[in-house]
Parts: sequence; structure tokens; C-alpha cells
Amino acid sequence: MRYLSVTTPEGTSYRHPFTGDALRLGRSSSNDLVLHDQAASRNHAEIISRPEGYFLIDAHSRNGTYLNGSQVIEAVPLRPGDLIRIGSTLLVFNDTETGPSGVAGGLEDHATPGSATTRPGTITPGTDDLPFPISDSIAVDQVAVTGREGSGGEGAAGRLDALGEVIGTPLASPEQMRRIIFAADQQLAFHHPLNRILEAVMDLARDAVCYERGVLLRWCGDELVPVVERGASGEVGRPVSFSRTIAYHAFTRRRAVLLAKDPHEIFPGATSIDEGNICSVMCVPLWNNREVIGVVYVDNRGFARRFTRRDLQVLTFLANIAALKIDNAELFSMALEAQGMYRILREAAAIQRGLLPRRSPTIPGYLLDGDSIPCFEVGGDLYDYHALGDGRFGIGVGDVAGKGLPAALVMSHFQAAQRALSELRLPPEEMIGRLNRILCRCLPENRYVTFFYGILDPGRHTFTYVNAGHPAPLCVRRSGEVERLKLNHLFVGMFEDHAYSSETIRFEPDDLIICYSDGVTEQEDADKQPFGERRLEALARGIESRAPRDVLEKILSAVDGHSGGRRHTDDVTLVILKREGHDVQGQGQ
Amino acid sequence: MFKVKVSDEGTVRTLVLEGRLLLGDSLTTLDKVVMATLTEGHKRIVFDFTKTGAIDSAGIGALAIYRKRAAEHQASIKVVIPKRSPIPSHVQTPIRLLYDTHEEVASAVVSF
Repeated sequence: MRYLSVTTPEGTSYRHPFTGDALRLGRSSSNDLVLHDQAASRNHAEIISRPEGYFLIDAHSRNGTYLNGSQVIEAVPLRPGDLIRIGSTLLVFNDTETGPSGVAGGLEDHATPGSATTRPGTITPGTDDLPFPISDSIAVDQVAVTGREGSGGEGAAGRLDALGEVIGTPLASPEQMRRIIFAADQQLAFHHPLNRILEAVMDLARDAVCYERGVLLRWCGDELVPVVERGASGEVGRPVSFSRTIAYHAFTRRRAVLLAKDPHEIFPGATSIDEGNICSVMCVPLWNNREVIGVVYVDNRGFARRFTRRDLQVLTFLANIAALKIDNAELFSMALEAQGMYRILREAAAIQRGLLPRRSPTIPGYLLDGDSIPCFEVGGDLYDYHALGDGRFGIGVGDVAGKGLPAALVMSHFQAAQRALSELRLPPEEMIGRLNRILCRCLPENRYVTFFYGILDPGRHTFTYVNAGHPAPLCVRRSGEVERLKLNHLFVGMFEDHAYSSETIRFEPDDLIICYSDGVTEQEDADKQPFGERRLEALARGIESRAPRDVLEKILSAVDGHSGGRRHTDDVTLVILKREGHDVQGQGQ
Repeated sequence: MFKVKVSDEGTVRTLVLEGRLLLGDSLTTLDKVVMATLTEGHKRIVFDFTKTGAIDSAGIGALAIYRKRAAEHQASIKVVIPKRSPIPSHVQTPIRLLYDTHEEVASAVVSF
């Protein structure tokens, strides 16, 4: 769709569609677009369509037609974004068929982040020696107008007086604001990629305030970097130079800036303004209700009209909307990334669950069961069973220091190593000694694994174990007496020369061993009191005749009850081994 | 709120660890104090856990690392854990395996 964005001498803006092959402009009612401008001739100018494009022709007007600041002498080609001035009426030629921005060519192609620091014709940043006075009392969401003559005691009105031109200019009319809000709503209501949003902001601003050149700059931690540039006609593809002094002033002071009076007087000798032949500048902060994340800078050159306080109000309004949209777009992207990460974590969790035993082995005369519940998607707890091939079984329970993904990575490595070593049917102390040496060579210094490993000989009813830094399992005798399979060695993965030794206990009928991770006893209640070892022991004394699955669920239920249903703060792992007796009531498998 | 109170008695520097020694700020605080103590050249150091409420696995890991760091600086660390400490036994045991432990600061100080 082709149209002209028209701004009348009164400041009212509207769109005029361009549907035919020609569009005549002038004061006469016979024109396609009637200009209510005393400086316009009755038949002032014409836009015509030719096979090679659109052309602007001055119809021998008395006061002339200007394209991007230059007087039109003969037919000149029109490009989207071109600024036409007839008297005090401004018209921007738009053609949305050339892209959402209305400007031919992708701006990303010539956006040169970081190049502003070395771009010729710009002013060296320096906000403390600005050539005009500043009032710090005006917030970013208000329109502030900065001029040459302001003083500390003056409000915005005083500075307006100094500017001269904008006295008596009304603020944006409700109708104009309605149109801008409508356009902003259409362009920005839905989610779009961030670069498209930023470009839409600059296009909306061009329609609303008819700037000739504009730059949207984002704060990248240590400098303002141009991310969208809108050059004048004939300059598309070239970086837009801008006054860094004004941009940094608006950014650091959180103030909207309007230079409506001759900027050459305000900035005598300023290279970027002199070389750019700039006649008027606006710069407003992008404020997202928390911080300033950049600025929108626009200017007009040559004989183009000077911005008014009304324009500044409109640009501030658009910048505020833009800042919130930028915030939303970035949060949306982060949410998508988090969603992707969550999917990966869920896959990792499924893989990790697959590393744990799928079912307990059948051991004549014994019942065995275990479970592990990570506090995050993945965890650092593990348990495992190994049939050693001679009727004996290895049983291990471990806990990697830390939680989440890092712990899970160590856990999978450790699991693989101990499974490989179990094939060698090593005594527990030798198995753990080798595991210790393997881990010492590959784990980060602050990582270690607590590991309880024992070999059950069901023929002799003995259990030979090493406890390497793991919470001491409970051995609950049929009588209700509780013994600890004491912690007699350092964890694995930190001290390579540590020597491990084993101990052996004898199993009697109905004896029960409860192996657990510290997530069981350290689960806290609302008052930050841990479940504790004593509570676990008391619980164990009352359940010695129950099947392993029942014991396991009873302990988990008690821990959940203690935490008041809150999420576990650590991985919880339990392995229950029981020698069958006469009063087993449930199934362990 | 975790705090480390530092005091010197003769050639012995005592660090009183008040609060919960857990992954995060408390460990960062302790790290700074311990490394500063070793860098300053103190060779006899006491960790007093009398006012320590809890130590998590990251805390134990840090204590294990301090043993290595102390050895690198030719320093020696003693530990005070009273009988009625709320620190669970499975946490106390590795500390006792890592360090020479005492029930009172005075006993730890004279043991060097």
C-alpha cells in the first residue's frame, strides 16, 4: 500500500492513500490532496507513477517544493521514507510493499554496532561539559525541553521561551494521539522478533514526527550502539551520523531533549551538526519502568521544519511504548530459551532414570528395593545393584556433592566407573579405592562423592561394606535395636592416597538395612528444623517387620510430612535390604 | 546470617564460624577469610564450630580443600566441635577424619 503521511502546519497528522497513477497536491479543492497551507500554491505539485518508479514534480509553485531539504527543480524520483515539504506542510512518502519498514533495503545490513565511536563527524561523548543547562527535576516520562538559555530556577516553560519558536504550540491533539496509538497498537500489539519491533518503532516515529534521519541506540554495557538507522532518501545503506553528546545526555540524564532553535548556535563548532547541516534534533530515552535501555535520536536538516514540543511529546510516548515492547520481547525470548532448556533437562532426567536399576534383583532369602527422587529435574544421588555371578550381590548408594546438572554429570560418570569395576568382583575396599583414584584425576577440586558400598553373601548371610563419607545406614535388628553401619572413611574424589578398609556384619532373619542419602535427614520443616537422624531411627524401630517397599514409602511419607509438602531441598535416595523372616507382609519387588 | 569472627592468641589464629555454612554467600565469606589468613602467613589456625548450626556438602567440600591449602602453606588447622553440636554425625565424621578435633578452643590452641 502506498500512502503519504501528512503533517499539517497545525501539527495534525494523517495518512492519505495513493491509489492511482498520479496524485496532485495544492490548495485548490480540485486537487487529489488538498493542502490547507497558505504557503502552498493552488496547484503546487504532483506525484506521478512511471514504469521506473514514482516521481515528484513541482507545478511551478510560488514558494517551491522541497524533497529532503532540497528544492525540486525537475522531476525527481521518490523513495519510501522521503520527506516532502510544501510550505509548512510535511509529507512522507511511504510504500509498505517494499517491506514493513517502508524503507527499501534492510537496515540490519548497514547497522554497524560499535562503529559510532569512530564514525567521522560525531562529537566526542562528554555529558559534564554540555553547552546548555540541564534541569534534573524532570522525569523521563515527562516531556522536557532543553534550550540555550535555561537557568536553574526556570521550569520547562522558561526554556520554551528561550527557544522562541515553540511558544504557544499546543500539545498533540487527542485525535493525533489517537491515530498514533492506533498505529502503534497495530504494529506492536503482537509478538515479533526484536529487530522487527525496533524497526517498526522507528517507522512509527517517522510517520508521527516526520523526521528526516533517525537512529535507535541500545545501551550495551559500556556504550550506546546504533541498532536501527533510518537515513534520508539517497542515504539508505549509509550509517547515520548522530550527535553523541545529545544521545549520551538524554541517556545519562534520563531526559527527553528537543533542540528546536538553531542547533549551530547552541553547539557552535559541533562537527556533526555543522557537517550534517542539522536544523532540529530530538532525543528521548527508552525507559522500561526500571532503567533506561537506550535512546531514540531523530533530526531534520537544511530547510526542513523544526521539531516542536508536540513532536517531543509524541516521540516520548512512542519511546515509552517501545521500551516496554523491547522488554517484553527479550523476556519472551528468554522464556523460549528456558523452555528449550527445560525440554533438554527432561530428556536428561529420563536418561538419568535409565541409569538407575529398573528392578531389584531376585536374591534368595532377601528382599531389596530402592528409589531416588531428585530435587531438580536431574540429581546427584545414585544407587545400584550388581550381581557378582557367584551368588553374591554388590549394593551401592552414593551422593555427589552439589545438586542439579553438574552433580548429575558427575553421577553418570561415577555410575559408569563403578559398574565397570564391579565386573572385577573386587572387595569393597579395593573397589572404592580404585573409584577414588579415578575420580581424583577427573573431578573439579570442590566435587566429591559420598559412597556406601557393600557385598551381600546370601549363603553366609554376611554383608561386607565400606562407608566412604556417606550417612551411616541403619541396621534394624528384629528386636528393634538399631545399629549404625558407621562412617569410617573419607568420601571419594578428593584425597587420592586415602586407604579404605571394610567391615562385616551378619544378617539374622528379619534384619533390615536402610541406606539413605542426606536428603532424607536434612529435609527441613517450616522452622528450618531438619528431619534428623533420631527421627529416622525412631521411625525405623517401628517398622522392622515390614517389606522394603512399605518401609521405603513410610520413610518418604514421613519426610514429606515433615517438610509440609514443600519441594525437597536435596535429592532423596533410599535403598532397603531385608533378610526374609516369618512375618514379611508385603512384596519387595 | 553467617559470620566469621577472627581472633589471635599468640601465634594461633582462631576463626569462629557463626551460623550455617552452606553453598553461597557463607562459603564465599569463609573462603575469603581462610585464604587471607593463609596468605598472611598464619601457620596455626583453629576452626571453631561451636556456633555453627549446619554444614552442607559444599561446606564439607570447602573444609576438605582448606586442608589441602593449609598443607601447601605449611600451615596446620585444628577444629573445635563440642559434644552437643547440632551438626549431624554424618557431617561431623568427615570433619573428624580430615582434622584433629577438640571439644574446646583452649584444648585446640595448646595442641599445636
